[in-house]
Amino acid sequence: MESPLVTNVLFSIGPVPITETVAATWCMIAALALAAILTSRALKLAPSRTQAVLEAFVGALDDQIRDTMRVAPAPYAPLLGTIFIFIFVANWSSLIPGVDPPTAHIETDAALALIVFLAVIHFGVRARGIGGYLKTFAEPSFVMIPLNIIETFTRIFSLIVRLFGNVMSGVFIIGIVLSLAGLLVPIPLMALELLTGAVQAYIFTVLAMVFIGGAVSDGRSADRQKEKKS
Amino acid sequence: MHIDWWTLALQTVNVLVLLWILSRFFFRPVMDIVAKRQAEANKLLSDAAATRDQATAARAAAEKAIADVTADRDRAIAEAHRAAETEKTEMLAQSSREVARLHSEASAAIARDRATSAKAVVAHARELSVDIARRLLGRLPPTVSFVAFLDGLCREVKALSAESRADLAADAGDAIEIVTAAPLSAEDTDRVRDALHQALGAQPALEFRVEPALIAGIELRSRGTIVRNNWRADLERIGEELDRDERRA
Repeated sequence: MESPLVTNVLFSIGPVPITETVAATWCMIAALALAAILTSRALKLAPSRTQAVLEAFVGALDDQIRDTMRVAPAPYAPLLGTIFIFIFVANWSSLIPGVDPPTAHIETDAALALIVFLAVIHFGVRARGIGGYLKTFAEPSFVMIPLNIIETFTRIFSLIVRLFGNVMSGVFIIGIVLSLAGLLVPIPLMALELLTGAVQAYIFTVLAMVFIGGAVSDGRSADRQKEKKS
Repeated sequence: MHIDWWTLALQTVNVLVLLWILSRFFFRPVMDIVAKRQAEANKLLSDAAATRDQATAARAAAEKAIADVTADRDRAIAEAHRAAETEKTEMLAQSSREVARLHSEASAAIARDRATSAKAVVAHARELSVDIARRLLGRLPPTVSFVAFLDGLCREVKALSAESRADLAADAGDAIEIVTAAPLSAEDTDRVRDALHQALGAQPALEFRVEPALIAGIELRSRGTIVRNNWRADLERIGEELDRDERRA
């Protein structure tokens, strides 16, 4: 059995190795892009059943953002929705035989966490300004500056490890069980892994909301003013 | 465990690309369509509210128009009642006048008819009485009736004032005309002459003449005096009295 920690390089483009994870992600992106384009062309004022489901998803995401971040959801919904969809689809891509979920590889999880890290800084600076954002590291006192800086990185690291650990362990266990037992034995574990994948997508998205919300929370008034202007 | 930095970078780019794609082709279109639907719904609500306001205004206008029409109708009915009442009163008055006129005309006609009838009755009664008298007289001998009338004539002559009798006798230059209904016999002529000479106290000339219109009796005629004692004179007198009574009635 091959370790899930190992990434196989399919081919290289110059010095850039293209691994199975990247290729799977490309396929996933292509499928999602195709679905999004087809969906956007079919949008109507009188929604079809599919459009109603998609609108319900966007509405639920907006409600979740409002409940969690206490801000207008419009600026954050695309990023957070993309993160949720990416992780959800990546986790459930294990249903396709021979495909390892991209999220089972730490590079993908690190990439997602890196984007969340940058988004926190981006939205924090946009809401508070650079000075205001930097001042948040001195809250509640200057003594907390080192701890806040460490927390900024550790919570991102925790995002990486949580998602990677859950998904990788599921894939690992299923692989072990599959190598030891018959063909049908891993099915309950796979079903459990699907549930875990959905929950992890939700957890990762909600934590990203919490981190971004923490960065913009004191700048809510500025966001509200922008919302009113818009 | 080692991290493939190229994969990390590619995955970061991949997620960002996916973020752009989904943002461009999924989230924004869906959010736009939801916002558009919300705007349409708001517009529909505002249009519905405006339509409802218009309908309310139209209903109020219709109710006002109905009230106006009702008031006009009541006013027209009241005017019609007044006009009808006036016309009725006028017609009643006109009818009353017409009835009164007809009544007066009818009364006049009745009076005329009654007068005409009375005259006709009187005339008929006169003719009838003449006829009856003539028939009754026909049953008597001419001498009997003549003697009775001659006696009456003599009483009337005697009843004249002496002055009148003297005037009557003085007119003897012209003979006194004695008119009878039937020719007199010689004996009756002598009797008349003797009786009148005695009644007048003079002997004027007498001239006898026959007029059947007298019916019965005798009549004395001089230039200034007429003494009648015959049925025609009686009947004329009765007729005149009847006419007087009728005029008094």
